[in-house]
Amino acid sequence: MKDERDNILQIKKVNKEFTIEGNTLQILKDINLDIKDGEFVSIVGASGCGKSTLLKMIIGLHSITGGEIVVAEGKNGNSATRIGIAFQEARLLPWFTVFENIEFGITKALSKAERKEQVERLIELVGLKGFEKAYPRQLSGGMQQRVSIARALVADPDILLLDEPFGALDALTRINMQNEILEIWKKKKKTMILVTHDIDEAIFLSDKIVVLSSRPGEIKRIVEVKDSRPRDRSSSNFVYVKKKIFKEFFDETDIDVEYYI
Amino acid sequence: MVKKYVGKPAKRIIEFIIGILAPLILLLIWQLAADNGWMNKSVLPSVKKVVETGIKITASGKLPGHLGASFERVLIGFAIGAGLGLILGILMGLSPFLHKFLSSLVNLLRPVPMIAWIPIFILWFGIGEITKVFVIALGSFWPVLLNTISGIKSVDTKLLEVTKVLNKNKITVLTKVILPGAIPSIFTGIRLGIGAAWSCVVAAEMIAATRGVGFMITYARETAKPGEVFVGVIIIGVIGLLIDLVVRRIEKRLLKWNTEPKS
Repeated sequence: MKDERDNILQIKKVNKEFTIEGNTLQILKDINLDIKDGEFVSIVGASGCGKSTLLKMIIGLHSITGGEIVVAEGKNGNSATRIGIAFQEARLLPWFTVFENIEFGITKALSKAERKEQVERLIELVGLKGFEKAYPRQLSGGMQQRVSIARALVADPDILLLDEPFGALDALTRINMQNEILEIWKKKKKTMILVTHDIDEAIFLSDKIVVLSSRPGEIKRIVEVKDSRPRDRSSSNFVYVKKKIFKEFFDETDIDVEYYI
Repeated sequence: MVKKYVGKPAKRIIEFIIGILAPLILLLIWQLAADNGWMNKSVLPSVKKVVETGIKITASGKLPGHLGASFERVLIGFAIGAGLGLILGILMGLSPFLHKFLSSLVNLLRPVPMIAWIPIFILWFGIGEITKVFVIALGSFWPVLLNTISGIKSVDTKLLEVTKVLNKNKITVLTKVILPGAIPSIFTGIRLGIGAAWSCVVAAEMIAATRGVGFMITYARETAKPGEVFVGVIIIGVIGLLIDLVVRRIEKRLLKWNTEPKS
């Protein structure tokens, strides 16, 4: 069945080079990727393969060396497609409370009452009720990351970029957060692009998994996951997809994942 | 939930006792030295004599008058010095050009001791109030300037990326991210600055004044009143301590996000 949805983001022949002490380093090479409206896409790869760089290029924190990134025109009367990001570190303002940090994410000019209502809605969504007045250092890592995600969502972006936001969390908290992101994705119908090195996480969440090679980062393979959600991490198809992705990273003879589960 | 950690009263009392133990021991040695005649009374009066003198010159209004004069100078001088240090520090912290342009001058002038400036200011402004206020202003200017620059420069670039992603304007970035981040450092500067202001006023008054604690000490020595010399020195120390306590209190209030205990 062909996907009829429109592309919200097109990455066309994108290259990225860094110059370090006169040496040019190719980080990303010939990246082509179409992302549909409402799709959940994960980008997996080893550390240093340029996957975070790609996200930062999409949101404009890094320049593009070659090629282009085309963002679709805005929906619902908005002039442009809005993009939000949650970083690996929560990056909260330590002198702001939870409420103020989320409020800081509002980009439109709104009245005080409207701001309050928006922030309260997000606090509810990420399950932080009762913590409005807490300062970031009083929160656990997982809670800080929820604030960070709420701050990215409060501006109601069309695309949410997730740059390994659960990378620093413990395994149990991470699974919790994955479930929550899935809930938010279902409720809000946002396009989400997740960068991760956790293959389980990618399979659990995504419609499409982009496997990047290292140095330079090139798309090795795009794996589609069609199972209905929530996905069972021990189902045969889950394991099959996992094996397929593992094969991209290791030689087949090196590792047989089934013995590791 | 957010819980406030309250220290046990007993623990606080013990800490307080430990804190005042060293000054008490010093007082004891001092009293012993005076009682046993280890040192001449005209050089080291007894603790009792110093306390009596203190009460006497407080009651007569002599000490409060001198203190008031010193306080006035410190307040004016510190306000000018810290204000200029803060403004220039923010500008130098924000502008790499201005930093490069001025840092050699700063590094050249900063090591000059305050005492060395006094003759120059006397040459320029005479021995009036302006000279003293200038010395105090300059003394409090340096620590505030240097700490403000370092506070502004140490802003977390990761937070700046967040403001960029959220399309925040420059004023928001300055008032909501850069300045709050610099406040701990600025407060260190203010604490050092007000301490410097307080020591500068005494130095300035010892050289050129007819009022003030510094003058009181010098004059008491010249007129052979060792009791008053000691009262003056002790009151300088006590007031320095009190100023520091007040500034710390304000700092704690302002930096709630940094000092509020973890849950």
